[in-house]
Amino acid sequence: MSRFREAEHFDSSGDGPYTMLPWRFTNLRDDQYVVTNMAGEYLSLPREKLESFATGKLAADEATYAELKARHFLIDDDTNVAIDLLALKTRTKLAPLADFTGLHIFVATLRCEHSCPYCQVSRANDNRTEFDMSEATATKSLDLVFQSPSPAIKIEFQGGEPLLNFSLIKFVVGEAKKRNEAARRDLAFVIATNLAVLTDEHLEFAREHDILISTSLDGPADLHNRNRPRPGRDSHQRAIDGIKRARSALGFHHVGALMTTTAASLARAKDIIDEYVHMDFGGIFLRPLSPYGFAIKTKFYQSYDQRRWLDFYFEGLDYIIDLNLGGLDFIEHYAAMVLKKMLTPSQTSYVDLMSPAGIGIGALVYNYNGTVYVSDESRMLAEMGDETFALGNVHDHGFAELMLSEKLLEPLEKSFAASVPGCSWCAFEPYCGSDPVFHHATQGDFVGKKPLSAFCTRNMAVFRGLIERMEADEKVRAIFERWANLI
Amino acid sequence: MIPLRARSIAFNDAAIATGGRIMRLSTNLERPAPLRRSEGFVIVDAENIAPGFAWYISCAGEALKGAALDAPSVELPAEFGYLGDGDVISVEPKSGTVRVLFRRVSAYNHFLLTERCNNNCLMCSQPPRAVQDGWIVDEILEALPLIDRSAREIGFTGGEPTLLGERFIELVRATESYLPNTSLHVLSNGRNFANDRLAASVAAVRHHDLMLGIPLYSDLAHLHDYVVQADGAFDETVRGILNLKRHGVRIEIRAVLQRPTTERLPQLARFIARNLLFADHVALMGLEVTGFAKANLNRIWIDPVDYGSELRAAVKILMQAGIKTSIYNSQLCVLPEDLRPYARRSISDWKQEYLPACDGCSVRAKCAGFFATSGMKHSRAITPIFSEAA
Amino acid sequence: MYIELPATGFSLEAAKRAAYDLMAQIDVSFSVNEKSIGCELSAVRPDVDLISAERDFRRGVLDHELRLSIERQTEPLRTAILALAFSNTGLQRE
Repeated sequence: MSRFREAEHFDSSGDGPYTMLPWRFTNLRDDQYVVTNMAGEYLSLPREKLESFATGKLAADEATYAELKARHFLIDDDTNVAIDLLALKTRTKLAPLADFTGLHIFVATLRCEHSCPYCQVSRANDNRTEFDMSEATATKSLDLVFQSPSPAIKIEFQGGEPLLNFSLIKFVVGEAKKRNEAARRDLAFVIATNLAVLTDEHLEFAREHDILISTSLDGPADLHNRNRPRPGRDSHQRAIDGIKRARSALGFHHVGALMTTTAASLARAKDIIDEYVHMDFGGIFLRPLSPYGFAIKTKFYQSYDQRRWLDFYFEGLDYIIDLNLGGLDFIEHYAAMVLKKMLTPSQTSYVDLMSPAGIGIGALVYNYNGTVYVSDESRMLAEMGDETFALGNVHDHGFAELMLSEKLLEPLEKSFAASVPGCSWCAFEPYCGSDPVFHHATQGDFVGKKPLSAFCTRNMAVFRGLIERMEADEKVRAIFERWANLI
Repeated sequence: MIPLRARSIAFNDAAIATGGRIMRLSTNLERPAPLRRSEGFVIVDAENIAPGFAWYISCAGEALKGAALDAPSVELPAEFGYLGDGDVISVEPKSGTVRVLFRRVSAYNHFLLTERCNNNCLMCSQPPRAVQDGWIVDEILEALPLIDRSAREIGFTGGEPTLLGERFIELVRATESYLPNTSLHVLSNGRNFANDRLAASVAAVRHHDLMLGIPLYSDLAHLHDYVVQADGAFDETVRGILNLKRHGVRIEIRAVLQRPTTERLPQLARFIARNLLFADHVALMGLEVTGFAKANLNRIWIDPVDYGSELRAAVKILMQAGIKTSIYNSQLCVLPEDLRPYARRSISDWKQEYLPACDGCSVRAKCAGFFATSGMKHSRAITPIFSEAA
Repeated sequence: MYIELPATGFSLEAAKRAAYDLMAQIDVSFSVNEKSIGCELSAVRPDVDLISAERDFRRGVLDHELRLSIERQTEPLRTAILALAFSNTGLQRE
């Protein structure tokens, strides 16, 4: 016969002092703080409990103690398997790095029939081919693409307006698929197009090769057309028609849309979202302001801009939350990517929120003339005259030369968030990224002084805003958990 | 209940002389002679008794009397009338015992590998005994080649199978060799797999379809240790799971739905989703009130209708994280309606039953029913479901 | 604005970090002796509220003292966890 012992017998947590596992904290609001661990798990605590915990005074029978223990903020005489689990979770967060570059952007041409003021790259659509990518350049670029070890390869056609060089697209798709018969990667294609010049031939080709379409939809007609002028002033109508035609030809889930946020967008959050709801998109990506179209160097203007963008963002997010509470499944994708880092053991593939930076490791850009850039933003920077992030040229350099060049390694190493001032002690570092291109463009160095960085201000505010909303309302938390696991 | 063991059985003199054995049964009058020499014939009626078998088994006294058999034979009570073609039994004339090891028509064939255990769970339905039962392994090794190779799945349980050390690996290897089309589901507390070499050895068998079912009862170590009544069990179990996964072994995480566990069930689900996302399956299991569970009822009993909301929250967290989840051993009427799709008919047929209260229920055929072993202990909310299409 | 932090209980490292965090509002220059850390705070823009910035600076120093203490205590485990994380990646050939 056995004698059974009570739960207290197995609870040695009060017998001796607890050992803290690595953790950081930051203020959430007033007396409330957020603590985070190496794997990005978080808890919200009042200051008093935080100090108690930090100074070894937290009592083992407190509810806070149990929560900190279960989420791997401390170990004690009862258990230390948290160490193995934290190691596993850390490894899980970093594991996608080993896959290396998955996104390969081909700039098919710089020609475009739109003249959007925020665009830095396009040229007039005048049938000259000097701004078109050649088959020779495409071939060399594909050589590099398949040298990336990534099991999943996404080739994205950008421009200008890539459909203006449709023959090149056909060439690349055909060549890539041929090579993939041996390489056997998970190969996907995307065409980023304004859809204004979409023909049935384009659609038939896309259908045959399972190509995804990504287009621009900045909001309702007046806003969209103001942002995106073209001859005929009908960019919005063409986009809408194009979306419908593409959905019909390729399948509903093969067509996505992105918005570009301009000064004019900042007052129209609800209208923009309504446009996406009306067009039956399952979500929207409320994109940050891009600094590359503006010669913004003064910190004040940056912070003012950022505050207005944050107002815009949270107005939009709260509106979307209300839509969800009312029964509509609709995702805000920026939040979803952050929430994936906060609420799941997985990692996001959003280049801007990666540390080590997503430059080169997450994406590579092959310009029409063969110049290789580490990201789309660095190509825009080059159009403004700054070639800092041009690694080389597909015609002159091989994969190893490009990927091991100091032009890539130096910004990666220097900007690594866990090692730089500000970020290395920031509680939100597990959710954030390092963005050497942005900081170079706005402050002149790869690291940037984070308190002066619009990237930092923006992200910290978003992290705080998401946590506050989750802590305040269980129903919002449930919505966020769904998003985090869906994307 | 379907009895699997018969005691105080009358064997004839030939049986007592020839001694005990393990054998496959046949009801086939055309069974080829070379096979008859090592099999037992099940007598269904006295007119049709095929000669040349090694043994004769009857569940209807008249049949044997009329047979005038010189061959070893045994007469079983009528409850064993279910025995049929392809079943495997063990006969022990010396102790007067017959045990049924494998039933071909059943989906629930489990082999208890040992009664020894290194845990002492509050709700254990198979209380551990410190006995020298190594003979069980020999018996199973002898039975495996006789089992129908088209069997879908067999299970290994205990006690704690890994206490057998190398012999446990030997058993897994034997199932892979003799039953290459059969899934193997092993129940283990996982603690001994904290020794990486054991985990590596299991993986090295390269069993074609192996899953280890390992229980985790809380996200808090001391509560898990309390349920299994062993200090340090939580850490060992988690390390065991991690080692097994690292070697590519499929893992099912089980949790018995009893009060210390249900009180933190959503937190346990979150813990699994955050730390053990690689789990191939999670099974949330209704309580079998037998063995230690009866003695510890005051510590563990909670009416299933009272943990419905925790169960719903836990299933949602797990499914959302992409982890396959099932609810075992739970009656459909006590589950919230949205959870019924996750319920499985999981109770082994030989100990499964329904209650008079179930009369007229339209979903009875899909419902797990009750543990016959649980006696009268069940939810206060048992009631037939009429509206659903069966 | 000049403030003094007693050297017992305050470290230059914490003060520097606090100054870093507030660089959008104030510049801080330090003068250190065995008894104290002298901090000269000046606004970076005319519209900065120096009183409020000083309060934030003091709070910041306290918070960073706490952070430094946590970092010191948890550094060995952080190293162990990272070592364990990278030891099983299968990316290194033995």
